Amino acid sequence: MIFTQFTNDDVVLGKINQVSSGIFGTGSLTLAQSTLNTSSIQATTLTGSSVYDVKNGQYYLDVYEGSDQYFSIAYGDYYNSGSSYFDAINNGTAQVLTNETKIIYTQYKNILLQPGDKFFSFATGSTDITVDSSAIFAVNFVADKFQDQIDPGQIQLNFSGSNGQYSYIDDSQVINKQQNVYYLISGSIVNGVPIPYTNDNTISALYDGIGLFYPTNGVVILNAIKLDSKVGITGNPPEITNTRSSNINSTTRQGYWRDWITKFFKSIKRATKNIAVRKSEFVPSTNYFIRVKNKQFNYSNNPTFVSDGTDSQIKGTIIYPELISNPRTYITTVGLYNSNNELLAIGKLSKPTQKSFDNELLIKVRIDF
Amino acid sequence: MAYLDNNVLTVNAILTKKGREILAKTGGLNITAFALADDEIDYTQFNPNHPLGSAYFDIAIRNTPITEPITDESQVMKYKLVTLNNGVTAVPTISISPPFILIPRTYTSVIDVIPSTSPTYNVTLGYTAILANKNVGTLVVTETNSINSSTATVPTFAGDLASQSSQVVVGNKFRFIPNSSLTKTTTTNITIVGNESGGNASIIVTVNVPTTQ
Repeated sequence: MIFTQFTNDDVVLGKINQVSSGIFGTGSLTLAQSTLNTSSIQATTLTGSSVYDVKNGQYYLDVYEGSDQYFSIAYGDYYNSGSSYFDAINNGTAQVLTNETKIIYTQYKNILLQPGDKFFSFATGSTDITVDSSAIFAVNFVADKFQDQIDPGQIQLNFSGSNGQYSYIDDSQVINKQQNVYYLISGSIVNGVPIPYTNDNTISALYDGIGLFYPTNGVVILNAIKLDSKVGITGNPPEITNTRSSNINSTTRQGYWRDWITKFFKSIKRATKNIAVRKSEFVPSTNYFIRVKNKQFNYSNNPTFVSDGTDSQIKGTIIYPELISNPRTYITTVGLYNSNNELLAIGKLSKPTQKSFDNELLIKVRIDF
Repeated sequence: MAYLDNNVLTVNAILTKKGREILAKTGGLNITAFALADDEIDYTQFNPNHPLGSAYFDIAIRNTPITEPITDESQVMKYKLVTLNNGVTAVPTISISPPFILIPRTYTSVIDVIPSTSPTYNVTLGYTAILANKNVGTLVVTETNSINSSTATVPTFAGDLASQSSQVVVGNKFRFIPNSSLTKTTTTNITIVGNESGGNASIIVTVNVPTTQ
């Protein structure tokens, strides 16, 4: 016989393997932030065909290294500060508000917060004390790059501004439990290990109200007000302040639209430390154990295994007496079949593997989905 | 004292086109059996006269490079390994009578296609016959196998060789009926596969259409 049926013991269903690697290049964990760039045409590309359409660069900027896009950045404002005026150059005095910062804030609020939550809240001092922020910077990683998740404890972002350079990691290692969202704390990843800010050899999680990290969304939300005041992204004094709450539309913020996104990008690019991001893909797989017993599969239908009848032997005769007295075959391929004997999966051994009456084989065939 | 090699051979399998199709249609694969093959192996490279001794008889075979798996299920697992009793001197080989078919499309006499296996094999499950181009004619089962009579049109061994343009039937004996409406001379083949041995044989089928003056 040529087919052997599997028993229940031979099949291991539903095993999920986590495959992790860095998201940069061909699997690197880190990348020099100075090598990041944006598309020069994105800021001027209209979202539609009319000059009255907004430019997609007003909403967000795509960030590349070489030709590979790794993330997008955006500025969101609950009160709509920093939104643009109508931007058709030399096209009259009409002021068209497109409200893109309000749209961005609402978009991320809807995606990431629970229904009823109005603002993003950031831990300050400890995880028990939070402060709301109406202004955010969003770092949204490309889904193709981070696949199923950015690994908690394996992300480091660096920002540099007029007040210096600051590095942030998530607090997953500090709280030591699995969550959908983590707070950002001061710290760095050293040799793949997240190291929170250390003072006098004491590790202390420095919750500074800076940011939130959503691993499965691949999104980092930064408190723009706090980050700006701490890092000095927009300058000194910072332009993004709490007083914006009275600036309920962009008319009083003319000139700031897109400028804040650009300055945020520059604070990333100016940083001399490396960005670090590791991602994971969860691959469900099924393992089939092929148990080849000593009496099985010791003969072959391979045409070179037998005489074709032109060599004075009867067609079908095994070509060598040694293969008659000690039959052996050399397995190269495993085929998996359904009950209709349809070949559904195929696996190849790395080298021919001898099978004879003197040995048995155990081959594990794994199918990833 | 070295450690014994207790490695399990681990193979990453890929889905064939048929596997992907079934997964998309049904959401599952329902794999129930396995088979083994040695498509790349050239057994004539077995050298029973190797000067270094018996350990080297198969050195060339064991070092044969193996190609990566491909997804076309009709192009892999061509030569399957088979389980036979120790001591046999021959692998069951299938022969087909007649050795070829060359007929006009108007041919009305009976053309029986009768496979046989030597040494005797495939007596329980019979054979699967595959007409590669079903426009040329039709295969009819004239003798069903012993356990598959109620599902004579359901292939038990068609997964590797069947395609949309082919006709597949299962039985012990078959009959070929040419397509009298064929518009041009066409050549195809009938492949017969032993449902137990896995061996196969083919004959060429040509149905002539007279050219008009």
